[in-house]
Amino acid sequence: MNGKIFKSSFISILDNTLRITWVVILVIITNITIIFKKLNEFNIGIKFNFLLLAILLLFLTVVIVYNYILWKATSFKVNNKTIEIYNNIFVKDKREFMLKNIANIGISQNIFERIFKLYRIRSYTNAKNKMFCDFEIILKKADYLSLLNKFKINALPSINAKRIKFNFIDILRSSILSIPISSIIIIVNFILLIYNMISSKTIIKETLYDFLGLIITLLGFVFPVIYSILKNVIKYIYYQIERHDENIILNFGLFTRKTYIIPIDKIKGIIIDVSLLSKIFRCYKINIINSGIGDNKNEIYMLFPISSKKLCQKILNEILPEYDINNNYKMQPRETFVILISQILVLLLILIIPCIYINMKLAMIISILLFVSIFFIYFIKRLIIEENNLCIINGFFIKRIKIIKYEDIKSVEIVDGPISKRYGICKLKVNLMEKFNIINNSTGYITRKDMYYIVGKIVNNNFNEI
Amino acid sequence: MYYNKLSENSAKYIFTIYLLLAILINLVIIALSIIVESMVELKYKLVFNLVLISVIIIIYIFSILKSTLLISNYSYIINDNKIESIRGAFIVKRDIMLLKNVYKIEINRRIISRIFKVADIKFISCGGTIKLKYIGYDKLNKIENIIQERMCNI
Repeated sequence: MNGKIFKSSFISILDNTLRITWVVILVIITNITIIFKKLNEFNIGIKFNFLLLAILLLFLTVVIVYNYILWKATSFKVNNKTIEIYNNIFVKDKREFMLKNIANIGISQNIFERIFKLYRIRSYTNAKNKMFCDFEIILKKADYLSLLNKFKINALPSINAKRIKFNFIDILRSSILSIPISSIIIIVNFILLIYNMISSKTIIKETLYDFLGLIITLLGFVFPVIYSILKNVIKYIYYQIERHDENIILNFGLFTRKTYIIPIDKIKGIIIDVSLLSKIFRCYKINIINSGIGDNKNEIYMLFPISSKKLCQKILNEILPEYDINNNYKMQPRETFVILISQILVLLLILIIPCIYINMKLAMIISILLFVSIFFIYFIKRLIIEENNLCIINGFFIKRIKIIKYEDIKSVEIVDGPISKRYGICKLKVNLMEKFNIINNSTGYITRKDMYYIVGKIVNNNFNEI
Repeated sequence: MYYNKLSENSAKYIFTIYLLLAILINLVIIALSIIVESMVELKYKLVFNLVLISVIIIIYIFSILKSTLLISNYSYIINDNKIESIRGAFIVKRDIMLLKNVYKIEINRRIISRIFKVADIKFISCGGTIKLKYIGYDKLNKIENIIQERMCNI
C-alpha cells in the first residue's frame, strides 16, 4: 500500500536538544566570562572551571549527536488505514497501528517552535494506563495540515460548532482550587501568624530573632504553592473549548500553546471530582476518560477549568450533551443494612472480645464507631440509571461522580453473597478503559431488577438468570 | 440457555492439584515438627502430636471440600455475543464480557494440566479480563475458533 512518508523537521534536532539541555546551556552562558578569561590566559594547567565547562560542552555535543541519529533513523508512513513508525537505529524497528484507534492528538508549540513555525504532534491510541504517547513528531505547518488530513480529522469549525472561552479570573480560581487541602492549611496558618505578629507589633523582632525559620517556611511551604498557582495560570491561560461535529478541541497556554483534538466517539466517560475545597466553593472539576488525558503529568488533567456547579452543568450540556444526567439518584436498597450489620457483627466478635478483657471503654468506643460506619458505608454509594448512561456517585463530602455509557463498559462482575441473594440484592462491578489510578467501579448493592436492566443494556439484552 | 460444566478430566485435575497442595503442606508441617522436637524439649509431647495430626487432617478435609465445591459450582458459557463464567459456592461471582471487546487471548498449559489435557484461557479486553479455568483440550480449540471469528480490534 502506498502512503505518504513524514519526517520530523531538521530543526527538531535543535528543539529536542534544547528541551533536555536548557539548564546546561544556561550554565554555559552564565559562565561565558570565565571561558573567555581562560582562553585569554592560555593556561596550560587545567583548572576546575575549565574542566566543568568542557564536560558540559561534551554532554551538549553527545545530546546533539544522539538527536541527529534519532532524527535520521525515524520516519513515519501514513497509509489509508494505518500508520507505520520506523525507528532503525541499531535494530530495524517497525510499529504499526490503526488510524481509527487514535483517541487523542495533542499539538504543542513552545516559543522556539513558534519562531520556526513548527508543530509538535503527540498521538495516543486508546489503551489502559497510557503513560507515554504512541508517537511524537515535529512538523512544519504544511506537513502538519497534511498529516491531520491523512488522519481524517476535521479540525475546522462547522456552522454548529460551539465555542466557550475562559477568562483570567476563571483560570486563577481553577488554579487556586487545584491546590491540595494540606497546602491551603499551611498558607492560612502562615497568613494568620503574620497577621498576629503585625497586630501585636512584634513582626520585626520575631523576624530578626528567627530569620532562618522564616526563610525555611517561605522556601519550603509558601513558594511551592505560589509557584504551582502561577504555573497553572501560565499553562492554562486563554483556555478555549470547542465542540465540532466529530471532535472536541481544547486550546490554551501563554508561552507553550497547546491544542488537543479528541474524537467524541473515543471519549469513554466523564469523571466529576469534588474536592473538599471545591465543595466549600460549590465547584466541580470535570475530566474525560480518554487515552493520554490525565495519565501523564505533562498532559491536561481536565476538560475545562474548575467552575461553579451551575456553569459546569451548562458547559457540559453544550459541549457533551451525550453525558447529560438528571439528579434522581438511587440510594443502596434498605436490605443493605442487614448485610452491613452482619459484616460488622463478625468484626465485632474479632475485635471486641479481646478488647473487653483489656478495657471496657475501648470496647464500647470501637463498637459505636463500627455501628456508625454502617450508615457511612450505606450513604457513600449512589447510582443514577438512565437510558444510555450509568452514573456512579462515590463519596460524601469529597465526591467522585462517574458517568459511563453502557456501550463503553467492557466487562462486568456480579457478586452474590448468601445474605444478599436472600434479600434480592447484589453488587455490580463494571470495567471500562480507565486511568491507571482509578480502580474501583463498584455500584455498591443494587436490586436484582436494576442489575438485570444494567447488564441487559451492556450485553444487548442477551442476559438471562441462572 | 445451557451452561457448560467442568469435564471429568478437569475434575480429576482439580482433585490432584488440591491433593498435591495438601501433601506439600503436610510435608512442611512434619519437617517443622521434627526440627522443633530436636531443638526444644517438649513437656506435652502427646498433646503437640495430637494437635499436629488434627491440623493435617483438617488440611486434607479442606482440600477435598474446596475442590468438590469448586467443581460443582463452576460453569461457563460462550455464545455468539458474550463470554460468561460463574464461580463460588457461598459468594457467587459472575463475570460477563462481550466477544467484540476481546482483543487478546492467552492460553496457559502447565505441567500437570498437560497430563490431564486441561488449560486455562484468559480473555483480555482494554477494561478487564475474564479467565475460564480448567477447560479440556476438546473444547479449547472450539472456543478459540469462536472467539477469533467474533473478536475485533479495539
